[in-house]
Amino acid sequence: MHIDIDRQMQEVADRLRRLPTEVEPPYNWQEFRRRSRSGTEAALAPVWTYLAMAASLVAVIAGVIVWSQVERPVPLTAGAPAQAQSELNLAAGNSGSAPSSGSSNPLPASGNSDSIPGSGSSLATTASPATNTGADLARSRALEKWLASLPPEPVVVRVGTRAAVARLEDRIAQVDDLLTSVRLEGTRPDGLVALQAERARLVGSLAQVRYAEFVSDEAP
Amino acid sequence: MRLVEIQLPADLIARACAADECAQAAVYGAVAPGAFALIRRLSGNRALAEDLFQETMLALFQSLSAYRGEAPLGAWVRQIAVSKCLMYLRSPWHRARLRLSSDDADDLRLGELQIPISPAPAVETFDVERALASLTPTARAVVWLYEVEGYSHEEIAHSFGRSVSFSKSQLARAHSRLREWFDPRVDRQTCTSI
Repeated sequence: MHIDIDRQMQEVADRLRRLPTEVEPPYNWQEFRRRSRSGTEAALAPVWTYLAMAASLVAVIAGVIVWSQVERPVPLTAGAPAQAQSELNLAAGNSGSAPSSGSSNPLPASGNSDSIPGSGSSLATTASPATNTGADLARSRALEKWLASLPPEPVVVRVGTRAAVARLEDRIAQVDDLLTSVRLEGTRPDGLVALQAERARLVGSLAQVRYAEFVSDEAP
Repeated sequence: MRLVEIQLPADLIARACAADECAQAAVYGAVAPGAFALIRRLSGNRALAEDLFQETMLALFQSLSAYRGEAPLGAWVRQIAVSKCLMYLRSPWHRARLRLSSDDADDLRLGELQIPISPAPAVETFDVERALASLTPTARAVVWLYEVEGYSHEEIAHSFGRSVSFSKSQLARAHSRLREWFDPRVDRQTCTSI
């Protein structure tokens, strides 16, 4: 019985081995290449899709960041025109006060009114009136240029700060009127110098108030 | 020539590795018929065999540079083809779909079988093909690997990730069914009539 089964198994195995060992493949080389390429592209398609989505996301994020940077008030360190900065430093140097210690700060170095022409009486007494007048004018122009470079005031402002700014601006306008009158008269050169110094001091004060306002707005 | 006996010149393989399309076409022409025949036997389904054949040839050319020439190229291709087929047979999706467990071998009806059709097959060949197709995919793979490809039970068990007993029992069941199939006393005409 076992011998019979073994013989039958051997016959089955022989039948299997006699089957053709080669069968015509379903397609030739060119078709294989075509299918391989399309298969590879299909396999890579999701990868490219994900890459495109990631790139789009990065682009959107970058756009939002750039847009928010454009919309934000320009920081003083970067926004103050270089020319105004240099003129300010130059004016401070001409008036005998200390130049700006940090180039990032367009305001006078020590941040107090002593460095603003006309604000410190000691500076006025040690320098000649003509020199002081020229320095006051230069410094006043530089400060006004810096003020003009500031971003527009925010919609919501502090009442105290806004009142101080308005008062200073009114005072500067009054001094401007007086200066015009004195220039037209042409009879009081010492008064002209004093008014110019006063105006420079007011402009300096205004610049300091605006700077403080800007810094407080930037603070978290 | 059997697939395992196919050996190609080393320079041809080197050129194929270097993306020489002519050499790759020559390699394809040499191994494709044997590889497709083997895959047809193991899969028992032409559509599935075409998919597995494509994967096998793709894997061949993608990893041809790893071929060290220690064995004939045909043997290497055979290993790739067998791996692809068994990977498919072992996949849970395939097992769930075709109920691969050997217990339900009796549930397999002839009407569900995919009869491989070779071009102008001889009567005996056609009969053996039908007998093979009557086996479960696992039993068919085991009997083919053992009886024709010369795998040992240990190698089959390793390929399937199962025990040696699994291989032996699958082989015994396959032989039993094939003996039944070739038994002249059994009339199978009723099974094939429509």
